Amino acid sequence: MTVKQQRLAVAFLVAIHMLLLLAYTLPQAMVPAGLLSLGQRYTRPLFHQQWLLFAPDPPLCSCQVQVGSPHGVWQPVMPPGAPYLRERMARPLADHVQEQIAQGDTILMPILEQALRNMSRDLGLEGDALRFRSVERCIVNVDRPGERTSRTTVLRTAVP
Amino acid sequence: MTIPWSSIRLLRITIHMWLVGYLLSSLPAAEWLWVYPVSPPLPGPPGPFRFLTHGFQTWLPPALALPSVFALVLLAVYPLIRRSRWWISFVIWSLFTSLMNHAWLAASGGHQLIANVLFWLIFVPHREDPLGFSLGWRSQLKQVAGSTAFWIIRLQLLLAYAVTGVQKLTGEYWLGGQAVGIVSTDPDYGPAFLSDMPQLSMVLTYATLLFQLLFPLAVWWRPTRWSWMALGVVFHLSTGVSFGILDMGLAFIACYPVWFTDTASKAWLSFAKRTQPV
Repeated sequence: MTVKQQRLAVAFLVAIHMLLLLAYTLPQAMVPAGLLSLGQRYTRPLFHQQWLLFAPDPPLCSCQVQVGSPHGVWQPVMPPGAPYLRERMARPLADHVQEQIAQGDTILMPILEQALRNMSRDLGLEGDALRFRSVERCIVNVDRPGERTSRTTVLRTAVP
Repeated sequence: MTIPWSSIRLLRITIHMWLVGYLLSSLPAAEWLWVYPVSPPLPGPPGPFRFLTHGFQTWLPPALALPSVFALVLLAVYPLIRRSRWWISFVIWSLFTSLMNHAWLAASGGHQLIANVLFWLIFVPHREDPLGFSLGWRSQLKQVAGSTAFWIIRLQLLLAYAVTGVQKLTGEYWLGGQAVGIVSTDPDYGPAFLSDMPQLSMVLTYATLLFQLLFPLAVWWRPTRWSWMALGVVFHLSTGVSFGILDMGLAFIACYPVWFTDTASKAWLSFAKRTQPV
């Protein structure tokens, strides 16, 4: 193989890889359906990535999931002052819950319910009698983002 | 088709330092990440690769997650002091990716970036072949694989910035100049004082957008490369500290050496050697 052939091989392999990564990561509306499907099949198993932090827009509502004891006391599933990686796990969980609520669904998906129960474990709260709710603080006017109103949604669990 | 070997050496060092730093910093939360994980098991993607990327959900006993963290720290340190082998890089990638997917609720784009870079580093030789690469088909194949992996790592970094920029263009509040104001008043992020400075928030919104969209061009073009990467360091450290995602910011910074010239990398390496404790 000559040096020129080696260069061509490298350019070809790099171009194909990047094209399929772009098909997977760019907004779906920009990618033809066939290429999108190919990109998903190629990228998902080994090269999964998504670059959606605060994109396409930051959320207008912050969200905290709270757990309620059988005695009616509510507290955040993540206690303040937890190690940073533990604390961070509450964010994607709240995001997923928020997405569900936005779609009009207040029955927790089993995987989210399991994660919330795991998170509540260290609060000394376990068992079927636990209840969850989301407390959102939402911007009313984007030009005055500091003014937010509260909205509470009771989440239903598979175990009533 | 020359690979800047000093840049690759420096990249390997920064990536492995990130890995060691991340794993050690995860230990205070080990109980929730690795021992009794908060993240419920995910099935992983279909196909045989899930045995490599989702080891703890497929064949590795979850009880081995914490010992794997310590094993991975040792494996990540090894190439920094001794010449490594491709299979060590392979084990490092597979273990890190499996741990990342085991604690998927704590993972971020930074983890995904590192996982991708670790994968491609398997194919980049640990040092230049002293005999050159033109002898025999095996050497040529190694050269093609190494160069391909090197260029994919380079472009992967640019793609991350470009894609997040393009994604933001499809929204409403980045183009409207309100995005940073919205994020800063979110109690999970901050800094809240920006809400009292709408003009500054607007400038920061457009500056972020421009920084991310222009990153690929500015880094590709040598005259602007250093200044844009310096901006990147400031951007990632400030957002990392204020949003509580420092590990994500440092993951991006750890990838920057892949765009260093060989001369600059040699200077960084000799500086690091001089400042090493005796």
